[in-house]
Amino acid sequence: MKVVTLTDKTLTDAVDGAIESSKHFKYLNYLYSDVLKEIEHYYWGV
Amino acid sequence: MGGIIREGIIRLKHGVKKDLKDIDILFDDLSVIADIFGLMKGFSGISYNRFGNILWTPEEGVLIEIVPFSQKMNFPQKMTFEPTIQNIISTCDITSSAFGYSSKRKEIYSCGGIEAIDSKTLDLLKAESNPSIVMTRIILQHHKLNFSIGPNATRYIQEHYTDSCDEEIYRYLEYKDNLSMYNTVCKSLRKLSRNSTIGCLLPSQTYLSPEVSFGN
Repeated sequence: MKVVTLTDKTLTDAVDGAIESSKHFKYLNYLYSDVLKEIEHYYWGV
Repeated sequence: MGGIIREGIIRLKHGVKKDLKDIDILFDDLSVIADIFGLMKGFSGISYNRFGNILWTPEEGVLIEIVPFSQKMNFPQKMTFEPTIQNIISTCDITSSAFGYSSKRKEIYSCGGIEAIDSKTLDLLKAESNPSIVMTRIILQHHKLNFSIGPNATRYIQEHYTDSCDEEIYRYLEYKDNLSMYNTVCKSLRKLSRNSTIGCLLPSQTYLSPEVSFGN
């Protein structure tokens, strides 16, 4: 089975919504601003 | 892989909302020099799993696992192809876990994951880990998501499950801090391995049992 890349806004909004409504979000933001800014490629959920 | 992305898409398509315990972040440590381990040294609630991944528990019930590409490219077996998110997702064992997401690019990567959610049926993609672990993961996701088990996964269980797997299943669930599912997993595997019906759905309530026995 092949890996497909989906850019459908309804789907990406749903994923963003799940991330933003999680208890993890404020810590993910903290990671983004303090740690992940050093990294060009990173992926949630993987 | 999977977790938060699957959760968002399940909410959209089926309206079911579940609390997530952990979110995984994969980062590319192969094409850039990034001392993420050093950058996180001062954080409280940091520990490491057996693969050396960072586990950050900033508060109770919140776990963020930070996984470098290099770990994914070397487990369960060394990969010789280009370290891309697509190639890493292609190594997932179960369709319902085969998701990735780049918030920068607004791209979702799926290897049978969308189809699994649409059909509410999970299936086996690849089985490169220990069979007991693969089978346990299939049953755990089946109960967690209440998805049917597809033909490849059913066949795999029928070909690989014996009572002698129970000891490894116990150790794996102990490592995952999920021993309460031991009886459920073993009973589900026993039933599936003896049942020639493909894709049968096993209601989790049937297997709830408080005691944990070893090797039964």
